[in-house]
Amino acid sequence: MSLLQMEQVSHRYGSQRFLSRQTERTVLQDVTLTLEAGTCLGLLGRSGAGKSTLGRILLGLERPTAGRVLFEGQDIYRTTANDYRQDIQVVFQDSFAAVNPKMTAGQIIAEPLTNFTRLAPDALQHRLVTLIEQVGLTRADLAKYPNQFSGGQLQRICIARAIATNPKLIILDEAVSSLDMVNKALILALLGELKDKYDLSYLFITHDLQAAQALSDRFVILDQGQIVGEYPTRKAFVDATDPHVLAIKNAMLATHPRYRTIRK
Amino acid sequence: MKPVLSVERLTVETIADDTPLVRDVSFTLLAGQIVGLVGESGCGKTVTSLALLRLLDEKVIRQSGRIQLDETDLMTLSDRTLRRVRGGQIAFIMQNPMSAFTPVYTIGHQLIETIRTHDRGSKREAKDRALEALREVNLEEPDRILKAYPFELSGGMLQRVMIALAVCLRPDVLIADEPTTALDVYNQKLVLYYLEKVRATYGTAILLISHDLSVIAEMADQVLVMRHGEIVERADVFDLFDRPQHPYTQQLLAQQGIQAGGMNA
Amino acid sequence: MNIPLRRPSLLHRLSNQRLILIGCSAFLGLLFLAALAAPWLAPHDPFLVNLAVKLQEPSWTYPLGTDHLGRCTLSRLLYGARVSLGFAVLIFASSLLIGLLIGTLAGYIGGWVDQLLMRFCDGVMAFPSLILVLGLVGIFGPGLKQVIIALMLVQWVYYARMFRGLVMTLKEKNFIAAARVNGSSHWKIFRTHLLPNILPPLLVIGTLEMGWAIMDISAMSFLGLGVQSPAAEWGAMIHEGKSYIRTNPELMIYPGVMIMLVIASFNLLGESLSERFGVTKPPK
Repeated sequence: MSLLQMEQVSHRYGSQRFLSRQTERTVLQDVTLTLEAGTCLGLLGRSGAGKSTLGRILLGLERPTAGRVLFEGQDIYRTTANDYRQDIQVVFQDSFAAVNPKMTAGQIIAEPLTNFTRLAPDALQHRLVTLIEQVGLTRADLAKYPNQFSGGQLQRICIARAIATNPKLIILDEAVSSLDMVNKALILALLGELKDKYDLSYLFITHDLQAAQALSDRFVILDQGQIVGEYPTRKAFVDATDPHVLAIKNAMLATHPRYRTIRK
Repeated sequence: MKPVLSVERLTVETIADDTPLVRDVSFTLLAGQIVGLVGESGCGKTVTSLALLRLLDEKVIRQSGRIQLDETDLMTLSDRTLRRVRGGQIAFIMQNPMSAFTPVYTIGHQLIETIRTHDRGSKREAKDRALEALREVNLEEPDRILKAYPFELSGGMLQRVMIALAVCLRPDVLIADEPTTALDVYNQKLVLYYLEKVRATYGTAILLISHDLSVIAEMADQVLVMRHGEIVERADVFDLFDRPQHPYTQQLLAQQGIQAGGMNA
Repeated sequence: MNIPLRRPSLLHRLSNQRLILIGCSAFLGLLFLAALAAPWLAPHDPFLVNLAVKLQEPSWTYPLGTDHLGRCTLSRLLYGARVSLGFAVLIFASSLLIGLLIGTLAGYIGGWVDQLLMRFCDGVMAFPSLILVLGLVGIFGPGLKQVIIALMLVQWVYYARMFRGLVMTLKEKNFIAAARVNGSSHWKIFRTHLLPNILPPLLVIGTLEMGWAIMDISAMSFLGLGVQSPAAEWGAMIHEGKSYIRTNPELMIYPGVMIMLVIASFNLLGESLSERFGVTKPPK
């Protein structure tokens, strides 16, 4: 049994959004994909392709208009049990928007722990210290507020929150896209390390080819709400020549001025 | 050739405890040149760009040095004259295009007003110029874009609208602070492409601030590497990528290599 | 990192924020205390009619003189503060609670619930408050209760719309999504994530609205719709004093100055709080 299966999932947003002219907009169309335990699936696509909506559906935040989402064989929108919540966590792109500005790092990381577990206060404190050190910060950082951290540090706190309850799957929604190159490399390394250590699975939603390749074993390309390409191995992806892969590869910038294409 | 913008020993400190945010930054920009300013977040890149336009709160921050734009020293100008310089002679493109527009007015209203504050002319003329500029950055249906509100457009589109505005006002200098960081890779390339088009067509000098070495590799002539508020290395872009001198530059390039390695594997 | 940007606001440059904040809070605080302690502070019974001492100049016995019925003006001002401030707080608190409830529900749930509640609000908004007061007064006769109910019925809509907007903006932030992923109940999300982030704007709007509530009560009383004589209330005092505007203008000036000072203080306080918290006032 796969860890996660999406079967024929379609999603439409109703009217009364910003443009009243549009009555309905199809965001996802018959999306079917599976994710095996212990792997990382890279979900690539341009902004507006429906990647984030797909993530929200998997997180149980948005009931799809059609189709099923099975986590460990159980349809998360048909079950009354909320067990899956503990097992599926998320790291968002903008870490500053992903934490409550009025809470300390300690309170932020403690939120899932107090909701899902019954730890005594000192056990909780102990767990918080373990978690924050795990992501490369210190015990003293627990008392700080979000505006005292840099974007990279705050993303580490979000990762600590995501791994707090030992989840099975973490959805990385553009988790490294707004970090600078130094932090991007460090966070990718941390995510790789945590994946091995805790046998985590990732769904890595991103438009960043380099970041996706650093972590993923399999790749899927989403375009205009539909899956337009599936690549079972890294090699298959690198060798692929279909227009969707080429579009991504062409959008990559040169790594050395010798190869540059915009200025000649 | 005489530089359009020359900055000498620009230093920015907090008044409260003299913390230096930017120290002794000097560089020049020639017409049609792109100078890349690269460094990690928090190294002082954005403070530098805001200091150039004297946009920092001078009650909190002390700023010294010379910022020479053509014949005038920006450090000596009054608020009133500065406002005319900003957006007129120097245009600014920032990371988050959404915050560059007021959400309550249409794009058209804001473009036309901005054009008219800098060049006298009728509404009609301003609108025609705006439409023409939007076409120049290949935005489809420019009429509809003028009628749209900022939140109805994507980040990539808004950033192109910002470039269109720069096209209208023909500034001598364009400061682009992480113009593509909030965009996906597809839009990133488009925005950079149109920046280059503006440079090539109008000879605009561009200060391109980025944490992404690939953006610098694609665009820059000269590169300044900034760390902890200081320029640690300055070099021609080819020299910098081929023979980085400073250990910090070498480290940055190595980190870029790790990611690029993943791509070419 | 927080980069200090140049602020364009004129008010910011002209005024010393801290001084305003402290000055206005101190004035309003003292006034509230004085209103609470009116029975002990007032030198005379504010309702005691004594035609022998009518329209007196200020003296040691009557620090601000007396009105046309020989009642002590200072005592009446103090008791008037109880009515004005007290009922302003009441209107503010009750319309705030209703607004908070309805606005938060509409913003958080969204969809048809939001549509329904907001259309209802539009309906209420379309109904001018003055007409509502006149209607209630027409049915139940003039009185403070009618005015307060009318103001409450109208005021909550503004709060509801404001809270809806705030909640909708917050809901878009991913920390609300993260809280749900982390198993927090809706009630917990409301308490720990929404409310603390709504509080600063609430404080700002609250102070500004208090000024308006006082203005409204006084205006209604001045028109003879609200507080009825012999009750002491600033608007009503101006109303009564207007017959003596030529001979004894101070009968109108004292309560008028009080109303002006209180409203100005609330407004300045609101402005400086909004600067401090970086809250932009939603347009009314």
